[in-house]
Amino acid sequence: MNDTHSLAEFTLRGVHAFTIAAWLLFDFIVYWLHFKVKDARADLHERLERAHIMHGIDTVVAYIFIGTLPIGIALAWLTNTPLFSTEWLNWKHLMYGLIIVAAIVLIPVSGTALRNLEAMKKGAPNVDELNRQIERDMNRAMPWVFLIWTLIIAMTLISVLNIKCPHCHQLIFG
Amino acid sequence: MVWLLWIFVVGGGLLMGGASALSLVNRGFDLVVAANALLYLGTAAYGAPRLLRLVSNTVRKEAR
Repeated sequence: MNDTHSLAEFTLRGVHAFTIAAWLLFDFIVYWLHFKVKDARADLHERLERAHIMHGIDTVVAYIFIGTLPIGIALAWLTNTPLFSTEWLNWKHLMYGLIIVAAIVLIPVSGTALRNLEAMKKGAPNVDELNRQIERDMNRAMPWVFLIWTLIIAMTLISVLNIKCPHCHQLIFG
Repeated sequence: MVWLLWIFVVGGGLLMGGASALSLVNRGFDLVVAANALLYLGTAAYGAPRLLRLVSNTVRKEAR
């Protein structure tokens, strides 16, 4: 029973850490792709192809973002840690809440590039305006994207500093 | 996807906001926990009308 519990806890911790690492990595890839997508001088087909890849990765990131909370709650339940009982978890929850705010800001701007590039491919006459919209929305999104990166890294550091090693009796933040 | 995101914002906000508010009642005031309650309940309050609009628009489309 104890072994099963430990195995479940170990697996969930692994999944939790892996999904956060994947989230950050995918975010970096999307950031790298966005330069070409917003470049109005680049080839339209190439931009559209990259926008499709960005959209696909963003969808995966959205699932990871949503999945992080239930996995974290399950981990808290498995380790018998009430959600708002420790200083470090309170901070982690606060940072995750700020990421939700950033996601709310990013929802309306996330589809602009793909939608506008597809309109251009179909022969929309207002190409300049559509390109300006893409650049404006992507530039507006950037501060929120940087905020998300900072918060994910801060949350990861807090978690790593609180890993309970077999010889440690107390968490760093308690 | 948009559906799932708004359900998550409202559901997660209510769950985490409720848990932090309950913790404030049971364990006493803590600034970070209070900020959590404000943030999560705020996102739930912000998302609820959008989710309801999404539901009503879908129902209206289905009815047509």
